[in-house]
Amino acid sequence: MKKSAIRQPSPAWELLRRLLAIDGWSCQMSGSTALQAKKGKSAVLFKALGDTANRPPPSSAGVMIAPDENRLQHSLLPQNAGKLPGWLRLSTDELVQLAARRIPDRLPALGIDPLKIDTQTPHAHHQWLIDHFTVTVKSNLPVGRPAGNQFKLRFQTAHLRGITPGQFIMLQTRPGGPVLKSRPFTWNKAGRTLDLAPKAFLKRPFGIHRAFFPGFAPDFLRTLSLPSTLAAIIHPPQADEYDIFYKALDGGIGTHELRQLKPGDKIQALGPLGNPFDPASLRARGIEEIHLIGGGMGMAPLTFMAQHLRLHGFRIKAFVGLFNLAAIRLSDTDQWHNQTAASGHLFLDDLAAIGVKPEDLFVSEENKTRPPAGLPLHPKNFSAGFVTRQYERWVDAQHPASRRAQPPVMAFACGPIPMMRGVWQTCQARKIPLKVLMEKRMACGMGVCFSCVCRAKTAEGTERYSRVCLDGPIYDAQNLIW
Amino acid sequence: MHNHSANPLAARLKHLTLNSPLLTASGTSGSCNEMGRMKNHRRILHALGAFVTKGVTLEPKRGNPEIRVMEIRTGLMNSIGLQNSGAAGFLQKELPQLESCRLPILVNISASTIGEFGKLAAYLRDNDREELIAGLEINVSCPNLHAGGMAFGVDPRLVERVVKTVRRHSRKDWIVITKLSPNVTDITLPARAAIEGGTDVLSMINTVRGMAVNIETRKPFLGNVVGGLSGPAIKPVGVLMVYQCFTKIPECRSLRVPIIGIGGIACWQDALEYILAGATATGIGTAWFVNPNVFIEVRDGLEKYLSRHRTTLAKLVGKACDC
Ligand SMILES: Cc1cc2nc3c(=O)[nH]c(=O)nc-3n(C[C@H](O)[C@H](O)[C@H](O)COP(=O)(O)OP(=O)(O)OC[C@H]3O[C@@H](n4cnc5c(N)ncnc54)[C@H](O)[C@@H]3O)c2cc1C
Ligand SMILES: Cc1cc2nc3c(=O)[nH]c(=O)nc-3n(C[C@H](O)[C@H](O)[C@H](O)COP(=O)(O)O)c2cc1C
Ligand code: FES
Repeated sequence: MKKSAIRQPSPAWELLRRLLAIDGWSCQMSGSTALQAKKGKSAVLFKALGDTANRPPPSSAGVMIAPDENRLQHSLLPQNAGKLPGWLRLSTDELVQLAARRIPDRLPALGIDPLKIDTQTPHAHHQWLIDHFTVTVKSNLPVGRPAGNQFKLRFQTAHLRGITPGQFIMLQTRPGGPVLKSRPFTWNKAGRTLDLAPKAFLKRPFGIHRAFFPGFAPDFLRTLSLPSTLAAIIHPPQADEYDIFYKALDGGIGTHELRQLKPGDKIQALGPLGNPFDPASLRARGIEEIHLIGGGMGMAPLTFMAQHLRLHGFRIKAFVGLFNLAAIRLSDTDQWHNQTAASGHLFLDDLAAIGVKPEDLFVSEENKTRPPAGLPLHPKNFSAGFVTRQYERWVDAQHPASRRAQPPVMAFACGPIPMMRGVWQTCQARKIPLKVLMEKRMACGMGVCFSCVCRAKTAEGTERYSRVCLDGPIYDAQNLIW
Repeated sequence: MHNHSANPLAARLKHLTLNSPLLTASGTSGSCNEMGRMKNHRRILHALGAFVTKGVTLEPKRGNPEIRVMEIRTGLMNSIGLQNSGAAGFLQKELPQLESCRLPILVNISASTIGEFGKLAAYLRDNDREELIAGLEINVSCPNLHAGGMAFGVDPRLVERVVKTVRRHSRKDWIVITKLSPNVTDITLPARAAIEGGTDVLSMINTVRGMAVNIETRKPFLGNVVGGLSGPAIKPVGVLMVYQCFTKIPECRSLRVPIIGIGGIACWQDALEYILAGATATGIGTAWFVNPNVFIEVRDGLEKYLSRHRTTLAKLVGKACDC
């Protein structure tokens, strides 16, 4: 690349230029505060802080890189948030730190001296500490037509910034303190009878369905496409609102309390729990394409997974298995997040907004033969029957079993055990590494009580009980006993 | 400010002086540094006086099949089945991690025969090279292989023999605690037997036996059928047992054999009830699953109560037994 392409080389621009060059992207200054990177049809705009005039063209989102932490913080001030939709913000210091951890072999190409990196100042997201905090309910709306027992709860908190896909939280299902403090047996208003209705004693575990980032359009990932080395070292922008998708179980005490929650209610939460999962680690294994196979509610945590994988620049194939599409019809346009081309279906619209293309999205419905019109997927990607079967057929067409070599793909499955077992059989026979998300009854969520065990294999191949909340919830399928 | 020697919360268990009367209840805080992943970790450690580990057995134990926990309105039923990585695994992998908590470490031990109790104590004594362990807590609620799985704790003669054996194989400077089972008619019988056997401290109570039925499957709810009940539901049972031992056993009353009160403590008022009924220190288990700040809040609450009443915790031990 010609030096003259960059008119004002600053340390930040220089670092960025070198980073992009690794993937063969070329750079050009655009105006005095922005840098445009191009490769083929893709284009990404980088921008210095302090200038909002130069917005990126609507077809491409940008990555913001700040010359120093102070200026980065400035852009995160509440009064400045929301002014720069579609920008990921990164400081140069942060970029260097992340590069040192995730692509140490590339440091020379970036002109960074490994010895000069200050590893004494870890960024907050390096620490996966479990916090106990209060979240504010934003909405709690039924999902499905006719409205049944499924709900989407949106809450706001600043305490889950480090949460990664696969991790979960435990929610107190009522506002106010734990049962321990408010006496479990209370007099009713008339002051006469005892309220003996059961109350949830423990917190309940839930996976995150989707995160929302302040200042970002809900569907900013639809258009964003990042160079892969850069994608490997950035970390997601900091979310502050989250959705969980939950089912009120028959006779379920906690989930029935949960459905009573109203906007503005404050409930206690514990998290992030479970092993963190870093999508960037897959790059090191040469994986480029990820298959997500979700059975029913199991698609919820995989949607959050999809969001992270897209941020990291992976190609996603998502398989959504449902008994009935009507069960994920959103009942209220408010739930559509003003996403473009929304079809009014949970999961499908979420995945489309995350940037999963119509040709990459697959749906199977157990009791139907024809899809309703307007779904954000290719008509031939709809099938009647089980999602396990649809996935198997698709994999066979894409990666014929006759090809001996292991394809550079990886699969994630979440759903009922028989469904995950089916996916495992498919993957095992075709040498596709599979990770599954497990769910077990939990008491503590932190690994101290040994209640949430599943049967796993030890290194020696013998059987042991593994704590899902500590060793999981993401497991290599080959390490479990099916 | 109080100076160190006048810490109003100090609790003496034999030669061990604890900075706080709060202990973890065995099996509810792990056995290595799982707690270290909590953001409020430092503050929790500051609130604690000692760390009691999860039950350790001589050989690794797989534990019971699913389902292992079940919540009730005011507590928890569990049948974990003492899953642990055995004494060797504990010493190698878990104990070194615990050292960073800088608290006296008390190892909760279980076995299925008296001989095994002895071997386990001797193994820990001989292999704890860096002398990280401050004492043992004998879990006599575990099933006795030779009595068809009935707990040692229900037979005072067996309790005495278990304690004697463990005492004989323990390091001289260890304190030996006997943790009593509440599933008996008269708690003072196993308590006296443990004292006879040479225990330094008594702790009570372990979980209360119970069962739940799943009305949908029409089968027992827990994989192991029988579960141990813990949490606020059992507090009155524990308080009474502490009270009975304190009032009826001279060694307890004279504090020669101090009592650790455990069972259902969820707030500082609960802990204080135990102290007033005769406990020198208290253990908290289940409540911390529900409220991760419970140790911190109980310590703060006790501190405020003591300063409001211008007294120390030691002076309140057994006050409810004066009449
Ligand atoms: C890691 C993880 C992630 C989860 N993510 C989701 C999610 O995104 N959406 C969702 O709808 N559900 C999710 N679940 C399941 C959810 O936790 C249970 O449906 C919920 O706890 C049931 O509570 P309840 O009060 O209605 O049932 P009750 O029967 O009143 O609960 C009694 C006890 O059993 C436990 N329990 C009962 N059923 C289950 C179950 N199926 N799985 C686990 N524990 C159970 C409860 O937590 C509680 O401790 C997840 C579970 C785990 C472990
Ligand atoms: C999940 C769980 C595991 C336990 N494991 C042990 C154990 O290994 N050894 C033991 O002596 N007591 C064990 N207990 C009993 C507790 O230490 C304590 O005596 C009991 O739970 C009552 O206290 P709490 O109501 O504060 O929980 C366990 C309790 C629970 C809930
Ligand atoms: S829930 Fe306690 S160990 Fe997993």
